[in-house]
Formats: sequence, structure tokens, C-alpha cells
Amino acid sequence: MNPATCRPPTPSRNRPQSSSFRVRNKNTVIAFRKNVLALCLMTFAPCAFGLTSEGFVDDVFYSVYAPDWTWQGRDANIMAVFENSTNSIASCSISLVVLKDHVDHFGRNGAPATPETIPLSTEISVPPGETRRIALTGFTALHGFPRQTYPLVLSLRINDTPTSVEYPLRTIRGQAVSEGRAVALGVPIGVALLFSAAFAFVLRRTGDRDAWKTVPLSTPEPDHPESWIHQTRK
Amino acid sequence: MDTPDAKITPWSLKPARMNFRALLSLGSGSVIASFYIGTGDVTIGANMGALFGFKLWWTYLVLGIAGWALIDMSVRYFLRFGRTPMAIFKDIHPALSVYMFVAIIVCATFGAYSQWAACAMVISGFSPSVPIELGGAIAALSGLLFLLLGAYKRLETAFVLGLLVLIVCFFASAIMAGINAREAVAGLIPQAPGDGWEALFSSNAGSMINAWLILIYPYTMLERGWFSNSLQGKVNILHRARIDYAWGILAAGLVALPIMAAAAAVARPFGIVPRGYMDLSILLEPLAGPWSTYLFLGGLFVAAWTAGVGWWLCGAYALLDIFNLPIKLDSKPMRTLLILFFIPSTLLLVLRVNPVYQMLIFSAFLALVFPVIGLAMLYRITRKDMGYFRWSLGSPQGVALIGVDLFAIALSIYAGVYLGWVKFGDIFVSR
Repeated sequence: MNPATCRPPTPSRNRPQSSSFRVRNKNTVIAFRKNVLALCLMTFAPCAFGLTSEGFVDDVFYSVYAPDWTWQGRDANIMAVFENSTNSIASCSISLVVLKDHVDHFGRNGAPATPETIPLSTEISVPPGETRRIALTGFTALHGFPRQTYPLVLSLRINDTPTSVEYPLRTIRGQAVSEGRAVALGVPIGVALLFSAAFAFVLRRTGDRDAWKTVPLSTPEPDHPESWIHQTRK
Repeated sequence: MDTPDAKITPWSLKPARMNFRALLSLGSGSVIASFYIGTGDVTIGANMGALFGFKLWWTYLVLGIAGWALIDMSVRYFLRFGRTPMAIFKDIHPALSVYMFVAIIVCATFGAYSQWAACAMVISGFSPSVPIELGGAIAALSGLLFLLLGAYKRLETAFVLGLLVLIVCFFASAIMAGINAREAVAGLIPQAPGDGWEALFSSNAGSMINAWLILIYPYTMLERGWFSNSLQGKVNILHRARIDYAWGILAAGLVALPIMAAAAAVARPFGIVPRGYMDLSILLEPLAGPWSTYLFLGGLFVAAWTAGVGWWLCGAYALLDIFNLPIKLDSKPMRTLLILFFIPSTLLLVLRVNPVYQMLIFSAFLALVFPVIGLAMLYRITRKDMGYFRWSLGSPQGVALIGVDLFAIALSIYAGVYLGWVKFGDIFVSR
């Protein structure tokens, strides 16, 4: 959790005041309620877990958004927005820098990393006056490593001017799974067969032994049916 | 079997009018909706939103019609003969009972397991120190206690509330992320938005043409005492039941909207396709604020929990049906079956088995269940002994009903083929 990234609730716009006392009084009540709501949100709202970083580089405004926690085995995605207010095309890139010791802790789309997949990077050209969005997608913190906060860095480059954003990413335990096809296929089949036998044993003891092949009798009408059932259209 | 019903022209009797109070008393539709909306639907909705915005919302409408028709067929059979759905299979051949028995156990166990795993992921999202196994076991145990201590009426009330909570959570989360109402409405027009839409449509078919949900509705009718020997009574019940499950299916489509909206707002602009239901929740947080994630996770928990309870409930009802035991939630055999379902579903969490392989077995069974149920239904409802509820070309309503019945059966066969040959094959080849 990064307290520095906590965002306050968006301030509400002031409504124009009416000359009528009645209306003014109503507005005061609405404003009071909004303030109470804002106060409640500020009090009870959890701090933003996400990373939000913004700034200007070479007259290009960038915003970077990313979650700062993830389950092991699930994907995290890092998003960047570039707004080019200059008169020329801006070449923008973003890459994720992982410490050498941690490279094998990460993968792409759930699979272990390869030199081609980590480090992650992507680039885009932003025409003058336009906004472009790009993302580093499918970045997976893998199972089998101690849960920790990784000191990652997002490296941005806009028209050859570099800048970086610190990106601490905390991992929590995801749905750990055992490896191996034989076990993964055999265990559920075994469990299903075992419990099919258990169900069959219990049901045959509870009901008629040949019930499974006997078509049942018709359901009797309830003793006290609801009144609407026998109504006719008037 | 020639009965007096057979001499009356199908669909010629008018049902009694329902008042507003009667409309509010509909409940089983919410039970159906809560079963429909599980982790699979959240993943499909998130993928649709991330890839195509709202452009595939229409699929819920089209598939919903097919789902409605399949439920309608089982209800017509129940009203005609007063027999529960498993009698259809026994009637054709007892070997089908054996197949359904194994399929029910496999699907209800694995289906519930995946929902408890999702609940556990949500719990760990709120409180990282809770291990997945413990979170899943707590969710499963609470579901078991809820079913063991409750009567059907209480279950219905809880599910109506649950459905409202999850609709509010998902919509609030989507509003924080930003929802484009105009684009959403345009998404109701059938269209082919681009490469990959067919796969999403087929996955959605596998979810909406849910074999168990087709069977469960008559069980809820039995619990509520919705049965009559008189034809007018049957017509009245069918009318009310149709509105009820139409509401349930509509609610499932409605819930997909905020999920698609959230994905369209936060994932699509960046070209991100969420790999699973949890990916979208993490994505929401930096862009739409922590409450958006919390609301989404809250909605996801309710969706997964009710779907987990639904898998067990439906499985236990169907097993009671196969063995001609009383269909009653607060009965001893029902409680025994629920405990028996609890053990393997929770055991799989602790064994940490790769869920991909369970999905493989699950898909293989579903691939056969879909066409088997579809064809068995077709065989049953086309027989002359269906009396007043038989197929008839004598009225526009009768013709329309034949049309939607055939459409639904064709779609259920398609969903089976897709799950069996395409999805099953894909998983096997990719591993």
C-alpha cells in the first residue's frame, strides 16, 4: 500500500445559488450531504493500492497506472498514457526493469519468463496534438517464490529523453497448483470416481435399489394450492 | 396415451391475468439468475468488453432466448406428466440414467470447486494473509451451512437479495470506471465485430445454454407447490413460470453489461485482454479507484458464492430425482448429498490440483451432456402424448414455439460440439 498515492474524492462542482431562501436552504442541505459523503469516503475509503505517476518530459505529458499488488500466478498490466501537445511526432517507450536476481520470479501470461519476454517493453509514436495509450501486458509474478515487495522500476523514454518511475510491486499468494499432467488429470478423475461410488452407495441405501431405472409416478397436486393456480380469465 | 387434453387445441386456453403483487412474488427466476452468473460468465463478459466493447451484448439476448426455450421444454414436460426431468432419460433408456448420474457428480463437484476457488481469491484480495485453501473452505462451509439450515423459501429470498447486491456492486464499479450508455444500447443489434467474436459467442453459448439450469426449474416448482392436475391450472402455472425464468435470464444478460463496461473502459483502450476474472479487478484499481475494485470483488464474490451453492443444489436435486427420492431442500437425503458434495469440492482446493485439467474433464462431460439433453428433450416434446403441450402448427404461437425449440436444440448441440472438439482439443494440444 502506498499512502502517497491515495487519491482524495473528486470535489463536487458548486451549484449556482438561487435567490429564493427555500431553494438556497435546499442547496445547503444538498451541499451538507455531499460533504458528509465526501468525509465518509475519505474516512472509510481504503488507500489506493495502485501506482499513479504523472509528469512532463519534452512537453509530452505522461501518466502511468499500475497495480502495486498482485496474486502469484495472476497477470498484472502496466498502463501508460502519452499526450503530445507539441507540433511534432513524439516517440514514446516504456519498459519494466526487474532486478537480475528477480528475473526468474516473473513470467508472461502465466508462463515462466524467457529472454524474449522479460524485460518487458513497448513503444509508440504519438502524432502532434493526440493522445495514445499503451500497456505492458500479461506480467505474471510466478508461484514458488517467497512473497515480497519487488523494487521494480518503470523506465520511460520520450524523444530520447529518459525518465524513470519507482514501482514497488507486492505479491500475495495466489491459487498454488501442483505441476504434472498425470497428477493433475488423475487426481480429479480419482476423486470423481471415488465419490460417484460414495453417492451410489448412499443413494441406493436411502431409496429403492432399482429407482434409477424406474420412471416415477406423477407428482400429486398439493393439498393447499395457491389461489391463483385455479383462477380463470375473467 | 390419449387424454382429454389432447383434444383441446394447443395454446388455445388463456392464462389468468397476473396482478402487480404476483409479479413481485416471483423468486425462482432470481435463483436461476444467480446460478447463471458465475466466474465463467465474468471472464467471458470481461473478454467481450476488452476486445469488442459492448458489440457482443446481443449474444446474451439471442442465447437467452435459446436458454429460455430449453427451460420451457422441461417445464412443459413436467406440467404434462407431473414427472421430474430425469424421468425423460429413464423413459428413453436406463443407461442414460447412469451417464447422467456420473455427469452430475463430476460437473457439480468441479463446477462448485471453481466457484469456491474464486471466492478464496476474492477473500485473499481483501485480506492477503488468508490462504487460498482456507478462504475457499470458509466460502464452501458457509454455503453448506446455508443450505443445511435453510428451507427453500429462505433460499429464494437470499438469492433475490444476492442478485440485487451483485447487480448493484457490478454497476457501481462500472459507473466508476465509466459506462457509455449509447454504445451499450447499440450493442443489442446483432453484429460481427471482428476476428475472435465467434469463439466468444461459442463460449457464451456454453455458459448460457447451461444444461443443469434447464433441469433445475421444475425442481423449484415442486418446492413451491406449483403443480396442478387441471389444465387451466397448468396453463396458469406455465404462464407465471415463463415470466419468472425470463426474468432470470434477463438478469444474467443485465449483469454482463457492467462487466463489459468496466473492461471496455479500463482494458480496451490499452489493448489488454484479461486472462481471468481476477485480472479485471486489479486493472480497475489504478484507473477507477480502490472502491471500484472492492465493489467488483464484492460482486464477484456474491456471483461465485451463489453459483457454487447453485451447482451443489442442482446436483443434489438431480440425484434425488434419479433415485425417486422426495425433492425437498430440508430433507435428510438432501442434506446427506450436500455434505457429500462439500467433501470433494473442498478436498480439491487442498490438493492444489491444476484447475486447467479439471476444466478438461469438466468440458469433456459438458460436451456430451449438452447434446444428450438437447436430443432427449427433442425426442420427448415431439411425441404425441404431450397432449395440450404438444407441438402444433395450428397457431402463430405454436409455430413460434417450434421455431425457438429447434433453435435451442441446435444451439445446445453446437455448444456441445464446440466444447468437445474445439475447446477440449485446444486445451489438450496446448498442454
